[in-house]
Amino acid sequence: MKKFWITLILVVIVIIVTIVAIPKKKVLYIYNWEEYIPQEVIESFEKEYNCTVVYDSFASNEEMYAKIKAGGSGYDIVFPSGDHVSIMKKEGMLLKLDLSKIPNFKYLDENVLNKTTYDPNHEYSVPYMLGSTGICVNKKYVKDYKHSWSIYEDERLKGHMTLLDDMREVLGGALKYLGYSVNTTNPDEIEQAKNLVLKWKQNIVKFDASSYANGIVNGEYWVVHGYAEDIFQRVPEGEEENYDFFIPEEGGTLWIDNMVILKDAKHVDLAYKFINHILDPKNAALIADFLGLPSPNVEARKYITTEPIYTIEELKNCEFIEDVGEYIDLYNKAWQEIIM
Amino acid sequence: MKYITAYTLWLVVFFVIPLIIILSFSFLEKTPYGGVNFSFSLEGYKSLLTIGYLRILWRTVWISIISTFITIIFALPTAYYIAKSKFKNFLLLLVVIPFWTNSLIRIYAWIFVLGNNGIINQFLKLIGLVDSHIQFLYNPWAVILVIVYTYLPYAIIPLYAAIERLDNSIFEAALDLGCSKRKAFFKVLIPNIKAGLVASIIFVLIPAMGSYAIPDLVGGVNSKMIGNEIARQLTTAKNWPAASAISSILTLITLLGVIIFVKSSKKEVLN
Amino acid sequence: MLGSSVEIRNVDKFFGDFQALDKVNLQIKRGEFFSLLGPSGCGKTTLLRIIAGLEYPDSGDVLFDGISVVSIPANKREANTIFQNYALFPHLTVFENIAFSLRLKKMSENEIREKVEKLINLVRLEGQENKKPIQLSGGQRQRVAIARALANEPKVLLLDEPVSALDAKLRQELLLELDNLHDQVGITFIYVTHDQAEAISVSDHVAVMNNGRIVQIGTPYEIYESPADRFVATFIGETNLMKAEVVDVNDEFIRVIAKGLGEFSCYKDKEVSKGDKILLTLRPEKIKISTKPLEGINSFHGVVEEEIYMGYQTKYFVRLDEGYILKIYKQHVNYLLDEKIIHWKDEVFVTWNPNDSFIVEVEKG
Repeated sequence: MKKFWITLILVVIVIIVTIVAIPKKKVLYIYNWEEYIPQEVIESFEKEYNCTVVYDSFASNEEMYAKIKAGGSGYDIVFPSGDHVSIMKKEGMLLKLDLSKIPNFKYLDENVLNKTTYDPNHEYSVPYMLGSTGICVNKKYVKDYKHSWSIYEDERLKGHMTLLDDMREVLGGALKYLGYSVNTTNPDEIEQAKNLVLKWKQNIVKFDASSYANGIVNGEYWVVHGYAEDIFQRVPEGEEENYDFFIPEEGGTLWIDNMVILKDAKHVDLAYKFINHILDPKNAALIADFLGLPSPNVEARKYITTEPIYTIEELKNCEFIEDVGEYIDLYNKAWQEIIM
Repeated sequence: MKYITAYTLWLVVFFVIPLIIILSFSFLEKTPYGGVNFSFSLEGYKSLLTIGYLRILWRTVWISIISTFITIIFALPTAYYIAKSKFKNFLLLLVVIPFWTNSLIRIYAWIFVLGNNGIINQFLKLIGLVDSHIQFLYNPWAVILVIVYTYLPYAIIPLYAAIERLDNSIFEAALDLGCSKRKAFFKVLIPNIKAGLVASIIFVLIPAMGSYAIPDLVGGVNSKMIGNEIARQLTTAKNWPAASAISSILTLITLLGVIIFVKSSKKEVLN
Repeated sequence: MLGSSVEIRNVDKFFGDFQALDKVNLQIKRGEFFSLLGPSGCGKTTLLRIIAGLEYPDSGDVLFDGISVVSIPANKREANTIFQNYALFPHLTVFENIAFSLRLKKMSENEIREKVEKLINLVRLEGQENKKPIQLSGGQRQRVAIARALANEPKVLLLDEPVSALDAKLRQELLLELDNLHDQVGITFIYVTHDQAEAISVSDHVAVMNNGRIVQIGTPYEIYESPADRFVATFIGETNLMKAEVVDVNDEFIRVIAKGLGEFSCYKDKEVSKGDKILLTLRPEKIKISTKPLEGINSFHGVVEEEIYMGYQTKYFVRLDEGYILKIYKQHVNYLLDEKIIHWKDEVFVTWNPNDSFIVEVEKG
């Protein structure tokens, strides 16, 4: 028993010493999507401001939101998608931004800034990246297909395809294919979308948000619905042409990921500096190259060395997923009937 | 005595209190973006009264029971063999070794082996047995396979402990008195390792009921289990009361199952 | 019930490199109480397990009533075993333990009840029917084990050190009970023990084993009184071993000379000739001890070096004039009131009958 107490006391001392000793350097706590910022951009920030950046990652907006909502997360900057910016804004979780502290804000593309319907005046959020979920085809296995959602009706591909395990993304795709808005609140349109997805379900292996990217790269799946950057980060060098990532011609959902500072952030100054650092054209270019996505930073486009997987131009038919308020229950009900 | 206090404290802080929180959340009103309003509501439970939930609940139960059954079938002879072996310690080490690897990696390994483009399918294609592939994964049976694989060590260890403790001469006595080996197994071994058997079944059944990652990764369009639904209600659907209600029901079912099971097996031992 | 005769023919058994049994031959008569006696590791339990069918001999044969049973598995052999720790089924009651083999035979419930009750009466366990083995005393457990084995109506009952786990007093009692039981049931008992007192007190015949071999087979009397070799002589009871050289040979007796003793006579139970070196055994209770000079062919004088009072007898260690220390047991008879009680340091005279010593080893000279 004595030994136990001694061990316990030692452990407590070690923990206290660690807590007290480390914060001599300032620490910025970031909560972001996995592998979403290249390491060199973080390192240059740490060097410039003599601080440490702690980078935690989440796999979905929902996971992030649940954690922040539960309170006491300790994060300073979070990278939510647009719909969650609006939710978090309504829930009073976000700090109102002082744009004068972010001089590089001026480099952002007007076209992008106009699309932020969730925060039209940029009081709470700064766009980080934008893009669309799309469909990726492994051309080694699939030769003839159309750039359309109808690929999910192709019975020859039965057992080789996945759709995202994401209610709004999947129903959104179906709504677009039917010619409706991804933010519809019309129960009939949602019902039609549900029936369409049920048809697609016959041909897919599973609804998958966690292993599709690995799956398409190792040949497990031939057609997947997902995020381009997830997939291309895993494609081996030189094999990129085997993978055709496209935005269906009917359009799809648009996403904009944003930087926000939490209301209970403890390192607000450092957070502003970090956002400004990200918007620095050279850094923004590094990020766009790293992700293979079009940059919302006009000035950055001068420094970009790799061609993005798709251009902002191709996103014209895409629609931003908005918070539909209580109508979400219509979607929930439809989705439940699909997956259960 | 101090240990008991410490253990009780641990149990209260990390088990009883969270359980009470979950239970109370299930009777509260949901707010649109997650979280709860502190006013009484049965909406959380009412939202579960759909055919979909019955289906998913039933699926969870049958997958768990079949998995447990198969696990025990494999664990029994393995535990027996280890208990009677000269290399017990080495074999036990082999049983425990999988724990050194993260369970997610071990689940992914199954995709690597049994996937549509996995080792086995590539081999079958190579020898010309199939044109494209056989879809082993992405169905409830794949979920059962991986549950069995994951929880087999949990079943082996209590069974091993029970068998190892048994006096070998009672098997010899059974043989001597006219039992065949098979009969000795059912008439002497099984009744005398009941406690170990009960522990094994509980160790497998409970985590199987709460499976989340396994159905998510190797399950298909029709193998979601209750665990996945709880996660979905908590995150995407942002319906905390519903998530708490499902959790409470799952806990209740498991608890009832275990109590009935332990009671009935105890009665049998006494009679 | 009727017992079987049991015959062991040239049985060898190896455990890896270790030879547990070495060309063992045995003949056990129908209905006999036969003991296998020897120190631990001598192979007696292995032999018993081979008879039971729980082990297989590497070579040789086992016959019941003249028919080989080697190919018959334990569960079909007409032999049942009382295990050393009784091996009762912990999950079953006394009644069900005894009924175990009957249920396997699918007897009717009435038959079973009748039979088990009979056996319970036989082993005097009335009123314990519904107890679990863990609630019983050691002696009761043993009785359950016996009843359980007898329920199967074996022709041979194999007992593996059945009383060794009990305390000394209970051991004597149960031994007596076993003997009575044997008389009642009339089947063949094969009894394994390392305790020579147990073996000689209950057996019809005893086989003494050492290092996987049978060294001597005989009645308890023969084994004790005329041990075949030094091992048997020392293993069974206590004895005086004397190295001697033959100096003269007659028809019935020989004269020997031994270091520490001098010259004396002994019975010629083995063929020897002059000049042979021999080893003699002489049981301590055969020696007469007195403070007065004693008449006899083998008479010696010495001093009591040690005296151990044991109640029913006293052990003396007497140093003879020439140096040999003789072990002597003296019963406390005291017929003659004038006989002086012998004590430590007393000068004494000892003598023994030449018929009472035996030659156990001969080395040709």
